[in-house]
Amino acid sequence: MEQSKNRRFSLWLWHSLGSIRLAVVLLILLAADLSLAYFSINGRGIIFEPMNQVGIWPWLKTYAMANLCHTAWFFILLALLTALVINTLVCTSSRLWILFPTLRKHGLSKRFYFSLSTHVMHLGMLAILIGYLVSYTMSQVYPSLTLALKKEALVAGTNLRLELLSMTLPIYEGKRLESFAGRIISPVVQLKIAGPIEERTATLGFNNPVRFQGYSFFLQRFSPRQKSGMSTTRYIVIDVRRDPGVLLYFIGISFFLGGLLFYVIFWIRSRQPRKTTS
Amino acid sequence: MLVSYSWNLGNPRIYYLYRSGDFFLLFDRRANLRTVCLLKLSPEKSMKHFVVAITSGQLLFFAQLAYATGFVFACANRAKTTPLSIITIGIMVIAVVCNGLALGLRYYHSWPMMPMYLGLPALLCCMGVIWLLGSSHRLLKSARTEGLLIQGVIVFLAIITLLFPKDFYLPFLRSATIWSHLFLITGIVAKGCLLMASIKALIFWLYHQKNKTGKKKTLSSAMPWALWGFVCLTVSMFTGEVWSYLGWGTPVVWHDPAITTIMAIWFYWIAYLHLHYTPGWHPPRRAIFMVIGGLLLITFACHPDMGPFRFPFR
Repeated sequence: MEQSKNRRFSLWLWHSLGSIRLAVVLLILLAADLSLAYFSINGRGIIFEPMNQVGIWPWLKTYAMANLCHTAWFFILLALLTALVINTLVCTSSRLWILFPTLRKHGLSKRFYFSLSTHVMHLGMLAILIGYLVSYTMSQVYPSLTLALKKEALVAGTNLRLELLSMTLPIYEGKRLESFAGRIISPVVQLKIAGPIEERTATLGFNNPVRFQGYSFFLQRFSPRQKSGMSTTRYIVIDVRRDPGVLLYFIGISFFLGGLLFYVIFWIRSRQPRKTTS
Repeated sequence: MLVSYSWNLGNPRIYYLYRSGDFFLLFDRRANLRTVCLLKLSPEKSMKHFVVAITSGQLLFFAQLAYATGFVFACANRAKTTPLSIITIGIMVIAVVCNGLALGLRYYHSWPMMPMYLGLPALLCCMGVIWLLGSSHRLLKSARTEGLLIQGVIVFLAIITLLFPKDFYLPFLRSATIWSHLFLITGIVAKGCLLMASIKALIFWLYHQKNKTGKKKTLSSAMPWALWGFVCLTVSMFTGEVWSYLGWGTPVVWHDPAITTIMAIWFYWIAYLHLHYTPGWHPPRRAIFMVIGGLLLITFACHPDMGPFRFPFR
């Protein structure tokens, strides 16, 4: 009797955790929380900026705790996202459990693909959120590393040695972007990265990071920024990151977009009027 | 025909020339970066007297004025007469062309970077195009209320853009990537589609309150807009994520408050799509949900792109 009660309770809990009603409530709460976040971050970006460098736990213990009235939404966001992950996981696993046996019975039908596409999106969403968690908890970040021209520097805590070989700073001489006349808008730098075993020379620029042995190098700033000015010293500032979550969230994005594409295709096909046979 | 031209007409800064018949279109760098000159050759071939210099700000102002005039004409067209409808469509075409030209100029003067705070004027243009696509239907047939509501939203956005401009920021270097442009454009299209879905839902709800017929058809017509809006918003969010990773090394730039608004809108519309699988959410309740989504969207489309109050006729 007791065993059956426990079983019934477990089943009820499982169904409740994966229910669409719960998903809707969580999604609305997430939207409300993120709306609140907009007003909390507005004008206070300086509180949130270090999260990308120090990771989530150190940031929560320091900046978040010290500015609790402006960062409370983030704690709520974490709780809601955790609940959403559980909900999505339970929902998808239980639905897929039902969906695949129908494959044997009805074959590859339109309905099967349509249902599968939503679950592919769910799996993509899970991969994205897990990727974020891995990224913000397990990343190693070495921020604001300054490299002067022809000088070697060691990335602290690693065996990597960096050397700024050359800087190509083409001065904008066109006439279209008047405000950028005499300024550099597309810097390109040659970087030598040496590890314990191999070394590589790579080209680094804005939105063009370099990857080497699991580390990524991002150009943050450079000098000089214009033809004439106070600063003539040639240097760059880079961020070095080892982020194990990147691959996971890019796989998640691909899954989500793939699922969405299939969902849209089958939705369009389901709306087309059926051909009448005479 | 495009002629790269170094023009010397007492003003050496004019440098591009497009020619179409007797008309010339010159791009100039006078007056706050963005100027377009329309010239017509006089019989004496003296151009000096015919120069009309128009900045992108002025073009946008013409567009706003035309949108408002179009709205007034559409309101006046109670008898659904054809001549008045044609005038309204004509005015709206002028408005959309001026708006598009203003956006084009701002893009032209920022390329390869992304122009800053283009969201509101671009959403204005997007809504104008949506209105024009079904204009004859909206002016002459049963969907007059829909047309008026769209124009009402356009006029509201135009007033906000006019009184609270924020277009004085220069573009930043990291925005010189295809991902930033995809993020911006798909985001604007998404907002336009989702606003349209909300307007259709509002009409359904209003008809439902009055117990009129044809209510089911109206809400089902909102679904394609909601779905395409969601698709574009998803693409916008993910391209933004790719850009964020390539530029900053992180998937989310947390210090930019506008990012959280996109996420809020995205989660809200996912909730809406899930309502279709939830028993108990009948069409009128779903319509209210969409209308609230539209209000959320307008708030978050306007607020981040609003600058300080500026009197337009200063």
